[in-house]
Amino acid sequence: MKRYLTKHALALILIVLCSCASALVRILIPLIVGKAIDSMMPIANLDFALIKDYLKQLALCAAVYSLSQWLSGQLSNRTVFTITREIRNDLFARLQQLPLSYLDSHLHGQTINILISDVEQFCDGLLLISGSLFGGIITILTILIFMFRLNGSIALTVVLLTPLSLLIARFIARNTHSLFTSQSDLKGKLNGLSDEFITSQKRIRTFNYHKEAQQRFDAVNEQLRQCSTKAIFFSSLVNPSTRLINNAIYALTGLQGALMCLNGTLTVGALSVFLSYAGEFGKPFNDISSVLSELQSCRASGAKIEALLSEPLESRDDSAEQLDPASSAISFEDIHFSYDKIKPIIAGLSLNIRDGERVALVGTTGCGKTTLINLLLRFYDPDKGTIRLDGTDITAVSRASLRSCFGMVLQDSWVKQSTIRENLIIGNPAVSQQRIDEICAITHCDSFIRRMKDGYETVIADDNVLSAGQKQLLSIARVMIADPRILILDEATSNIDTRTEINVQKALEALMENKTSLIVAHRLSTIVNCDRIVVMDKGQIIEQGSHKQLLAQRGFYYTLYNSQFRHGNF
Amino acid sequence: MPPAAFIQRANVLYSEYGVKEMKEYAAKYRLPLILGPLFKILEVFFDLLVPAIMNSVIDIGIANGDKPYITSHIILIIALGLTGFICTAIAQFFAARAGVGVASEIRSRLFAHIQSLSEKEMDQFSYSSLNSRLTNDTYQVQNGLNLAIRLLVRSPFIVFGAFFMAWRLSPRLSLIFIVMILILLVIVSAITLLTIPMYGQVQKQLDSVMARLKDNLTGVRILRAFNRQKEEISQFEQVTQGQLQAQKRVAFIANLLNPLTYALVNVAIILIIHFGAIQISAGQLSTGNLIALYNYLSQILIELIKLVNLIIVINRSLASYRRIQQVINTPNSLPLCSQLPQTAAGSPALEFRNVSFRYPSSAADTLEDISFSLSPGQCLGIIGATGSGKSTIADLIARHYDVTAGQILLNGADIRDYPLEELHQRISLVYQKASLFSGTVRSNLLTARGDASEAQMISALKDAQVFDSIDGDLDRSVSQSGTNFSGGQRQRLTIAQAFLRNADILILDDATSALDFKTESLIREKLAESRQTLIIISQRVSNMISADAILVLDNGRAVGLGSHRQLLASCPVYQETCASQQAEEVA
Repeated sequence: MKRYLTKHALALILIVLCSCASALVRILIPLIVGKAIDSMMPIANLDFALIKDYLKQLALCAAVYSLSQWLSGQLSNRTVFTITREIRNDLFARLQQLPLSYLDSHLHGQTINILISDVEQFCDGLLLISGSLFGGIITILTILIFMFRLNGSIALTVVLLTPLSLLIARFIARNTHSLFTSQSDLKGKLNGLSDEFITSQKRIRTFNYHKEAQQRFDAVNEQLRQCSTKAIFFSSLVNPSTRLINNAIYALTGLQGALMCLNGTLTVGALSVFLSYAGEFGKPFNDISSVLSELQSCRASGAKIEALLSEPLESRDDSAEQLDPASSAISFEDIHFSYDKIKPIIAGLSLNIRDGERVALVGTTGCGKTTLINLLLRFYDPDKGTIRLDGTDITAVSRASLRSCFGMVLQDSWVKQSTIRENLIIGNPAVSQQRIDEICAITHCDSFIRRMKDGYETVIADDNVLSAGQKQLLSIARVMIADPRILILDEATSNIDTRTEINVQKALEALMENKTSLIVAHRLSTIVNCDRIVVMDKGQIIEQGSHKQLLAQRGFYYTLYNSQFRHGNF
Repeated sequence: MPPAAFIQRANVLYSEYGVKEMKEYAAKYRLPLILGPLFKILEVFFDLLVPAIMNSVIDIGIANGDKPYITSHIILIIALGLTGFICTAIAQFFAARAGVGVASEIRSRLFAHIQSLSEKEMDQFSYSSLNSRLTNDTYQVQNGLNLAIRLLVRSPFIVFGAFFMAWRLSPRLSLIFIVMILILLVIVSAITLLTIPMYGQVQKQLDSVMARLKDNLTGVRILRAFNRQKEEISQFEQVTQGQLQAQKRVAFIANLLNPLTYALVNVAIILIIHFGAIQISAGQLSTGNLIALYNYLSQILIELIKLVNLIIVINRSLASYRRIQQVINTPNSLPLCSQLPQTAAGSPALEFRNVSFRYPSSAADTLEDISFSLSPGQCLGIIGATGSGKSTIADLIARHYDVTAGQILLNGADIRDYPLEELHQRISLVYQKASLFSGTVRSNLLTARGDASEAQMISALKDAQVFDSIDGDLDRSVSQSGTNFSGGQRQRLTIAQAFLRNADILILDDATSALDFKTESLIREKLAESRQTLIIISQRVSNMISADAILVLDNGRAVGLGSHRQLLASCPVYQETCASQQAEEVA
């Protein structure tokens, strides 16, 4: 967190200087007014020239005051907003480098909450500090100097007693910290819930689940209400408590001063000045203590930001070798993997894929096919075993160079909220328009793109603009434009109707020509044409061979294959 | 701003800000809302009393050398301070209670309202914007409310009190006060009116930051596979840059408020001293009065500054409140009714009569003149190319949207004549994009049917062929959207939900696309056993070959309706589809 402050040191120093200037002038103004009024004491012949002088000084002070205030406000707003942006950018950049295991195991709503609400909370705190803290300190110091010049012993009483108010403020702050932490946790929970419920309204409606959803939302909302009420109430006691102490100081100063007046060691005039200062003296303490209480939630949020910023990154690989394989042969050597370190997903799997070979992965759902792809692209690293591409251990090369060898089409096609064009050229920004047109034609994207309002420039802003099939066609076009060395098709055509699929399949065939491809599919046409079919079960390979060989074996694949034809005559 | 325009703007603001609704939100907290400010006024009263007592200590106690008088009055001051503290503590308690309470009331009602909206309105706002209104904006409102209760009464109270005292001392000099306060009011309201829409802009920018972030999180695998991290970062930085600009613009104007206020008050001080001096020399005013006038002015200044700062915060929360009201004021566009319609015995379970539908944002009809009817227990297949409008039919039956033309009848009555809950009671929909709620397998099943027994749940899981794949563990945890399950497991779990619900009509919208042959055929067997009226939406002929009727869609139009055999004989699109899938078998 500190580095954001050091980066803006100059602006911060200027802010402090400006608020110091305005605090000083603020104390000067009443002094000048006092002198001006004192000069009117001999009512008979007023010295208008002198009064005019004082008024000029006042005007100057007023100008300096407003100007320095404007400047410090302007500066602190700009600086804090800039810091807000920097923190958000850094957090976002951080997210890009976090291992997928982190992102898979945290609710998106919670991560979003840190980047949005917590950063805001934190920066609100910064604004308060720069706005009130320094000005307050300067006011206190200046008044101290004036008081000691008037009378040392009364000044000492004031100075000795005032820290009491700070102590109380700190006491309250410390005790409310846990409340603010749980408030911020509850907010995260509520945000997660609201995100989840809002995005699944269709399901909630059809399940008639809205009453329960409302109950669950209200339950967390109620917890948050109770926690927030307590947190806000206790922290809002800081201000009145310091005022209570200040009031006591004011009274004791009055008592001591009045007794000294009786002794004749103090004039009544000096006492009244003292009393006004004692009142003034307490105010900045008030400001500071209220800042301290606001800082509680700022600190809690800061800790969450810091935690995310120090979340361990994917192992660094900038310096690692760039992979530039001559062949696209892949080998899995005795791979073991589990997501939760308890239930093994891949258990001792070995598989060699030759350069240019087309391999189909087949098996019941949950057998580990998709996990294998996660490992191959290094979204996760295996617990044991080595994966090699062209004989090179893939953990020894940079992830970027490894991943650039692959093109993926997944079943859940994700399309970026951006223009169609940007989605198409995501893997190859330098592609020509002619090539885009060609590929869109063979992947049958052109018909629906043409029908859209702005063609290629149509912005896909919401989830509902494209159907699942259209998204999948776009993802296929996207990979074709990227033209990678190795293809991974994970149920790549599951959402496309068969009439279209036949044609798209032709295009995919052309793309797979001479390329190593890994295909997870349940459609026969895609599987049957593969060089080898690998049948997986419970994280292991149980059968492999060509379609004909496997059918002849009458094993697992045979049952799988036949099960499709038990109904109808297809 | 001319007065007419000003009044008009104020009227618009009145209705946009939902003053009426605010009264409803606050209904439960009326007592703290009244008591909070009341105790705040008591506190002010004690605050103002203290200097007066100190004055009498000086004027009477010291002048008379009366030590007991001095000590007793000092003790009184401390006692008053303590009473003041208690009053404040009570006021703060009520403020926290009411501020937080009203905000959570708003949050709960907003959530309820969002739940009552149809897909049409939700599309209009976008999910992420609704989410940020439900969270960020309600926090802002809470903040503003809490401060308003604590300070909004105190400041005007002191301002008008001090002005009243000044007016009693010198009506002529207090004219300066009036002018100053009026100019200040103009400045404050001008800046307020200027900044409100700008704060809205800032919030909108924040929405897009959030949308960008969410998009990035959901697409993380593809983005990393394409090594797009750098581009993503630079795009995110662009969005935050846009937000920064908007923040700077509004802060520039808002920041003028404080310096201008101070400048104005200082000008007033200079004027008062200047004219005061003239009046003093003319013998119309005493020096003591001038000091008092100055003191009142300083007091007013301090409170006005507080007020101005308060107004800045309140402005922000008003902008948030307005964003909330925008949602609240958007009614559900679906006409609803509360009574069950008359249904005629022997009428079809489901019937489409010349149904057309067009999305609000679209230029062409998505569905055009669709008609079919389905008797109880029958099975209808709907087949068509990607984007031919198949899923829209499911959305229309569930009334996520209402038809643009035509009628959908359930048991002979228009579905618009059913209360929504009753309608949803009768239908069960399984979506292609299988998604689960965070929680456990059990909690997800209970989502579908609250009163399901353990045995029912297990048999639903078994029928959906997913029981073994989750090791029969009903308490296995499910992360948001069910991402810790494979696509196939998710689909089977959502099918289990549908089995559990056992509604009259079951609609499977490409719900088995991620399943392997074996599992799919086992599920199809179980479906055949159940006597539900079935609609199977798919691209695969094999899924609906035994259906009583098949509806063939092409670009939103029905190009065929009949049994498999009839269609094979008469419908070219169906023939092509079959051919394409038969080719697969031959291979």
